[in-house]
Amino acid sequence: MSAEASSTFPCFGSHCAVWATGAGDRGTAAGAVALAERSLRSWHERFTRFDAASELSAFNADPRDAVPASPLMLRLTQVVRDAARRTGGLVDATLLGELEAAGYRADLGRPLPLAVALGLAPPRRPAGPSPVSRWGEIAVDADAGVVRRPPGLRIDSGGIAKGMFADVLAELLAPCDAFAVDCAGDVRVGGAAGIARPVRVTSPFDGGVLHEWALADAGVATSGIGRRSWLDERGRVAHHLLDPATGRPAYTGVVQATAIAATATEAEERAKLAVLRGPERAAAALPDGGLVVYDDGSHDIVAPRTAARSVTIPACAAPSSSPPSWA
Amino acid sequence: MPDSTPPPTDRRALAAGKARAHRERTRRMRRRVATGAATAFIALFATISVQMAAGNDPATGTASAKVKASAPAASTSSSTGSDSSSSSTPAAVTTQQS
Repeated sequence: MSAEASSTFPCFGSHCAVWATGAGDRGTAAGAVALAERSLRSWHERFTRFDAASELSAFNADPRDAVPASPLMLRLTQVVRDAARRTGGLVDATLLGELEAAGYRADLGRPLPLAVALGLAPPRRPAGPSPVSRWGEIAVDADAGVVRRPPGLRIDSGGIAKGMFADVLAELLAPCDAFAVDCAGDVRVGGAAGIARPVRVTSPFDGGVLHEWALADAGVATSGIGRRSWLDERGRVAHHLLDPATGRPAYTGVVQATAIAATATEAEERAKLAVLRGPERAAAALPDGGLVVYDDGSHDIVAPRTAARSVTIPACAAPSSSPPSWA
Repeated sequence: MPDSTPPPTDRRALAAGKARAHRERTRRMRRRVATGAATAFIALFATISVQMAAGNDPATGTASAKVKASAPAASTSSSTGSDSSSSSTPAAVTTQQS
């Protein structure tokens, strides 16, 4: 295997990293990594909700029913709708108002220590769908290039967008012998040579490595309540994963879930679903395997229901008609 | 019958030869003991060094996590700033809460 090029950089309020080797006749691996980094930095600016001038903020503030949208915004809104539909409304990215009301209105500082947050948290119970959900009112018209939704319905890019960005880059990096995209924790690995890469998951309590998979072609995502937590104005402990049924942070007994799937988008969706379902039904949300951490610090490694550990990704349409040059 | 007792000068030479042989044997034994001790020390030291490097501390008697699951080769959880590098094997990736 030839030398692997890589870059790690701050992005999405966290850190992103890209690795690539063997870029073929399109250019160098270093060029592929540089293109991926430029793309991620650009998407961060376009899809942050903390900048009123961003594309996402403009979309959310648009007073029209049918909002013209870029191809990536069209894709994001479709992903939001699909995730809610597939999870019975549990993974609902339209709860931005509730999230802001809970106190998540800007970049957060250091999270509360997880053990402290759990000590202050309300009794555990599984999350449920919202009785007044609005995600079903989103309609994406890709041919017309518009998203139809009631004015005032806003979407949160959140983790689901990070998974989607990792998948978009995977389509760009597919000709490389091997690549990995770590989009603030949402990971996509792949490459034409089918080389397995170690993918690790760490404990939300002490950061120790809990498990390691060797994956050649898969999406892996981790969701949980430890990294983004705070005390709200009334002194209540809060985090960013909401129970759609109550609009309040969900404390289900699962503090972190990691999912393996064909794509990082799907892995992110499954990881969130596993956290929101709670201990009894978390594993069922991880058909291709994963890991669940409970609030007593214990964890379960979930074996895939199929025999193969490496997930094969179905062919994806390229995001643009002309292949990129990385040279 | 001839007298087999060596003359006094020969007796002294014989005694000196025996003493020399004794000293030589003693020196050889000391050399063997020293060489053996040094070899044993080096072997023991090397074994302990290898064990420590592998994460097994003989002082505590407990093995730490398997090498495969410790000390991530490339983790995204603690990096800061922007950095570019190259290596010859696929780097490990760490998934974490986003």
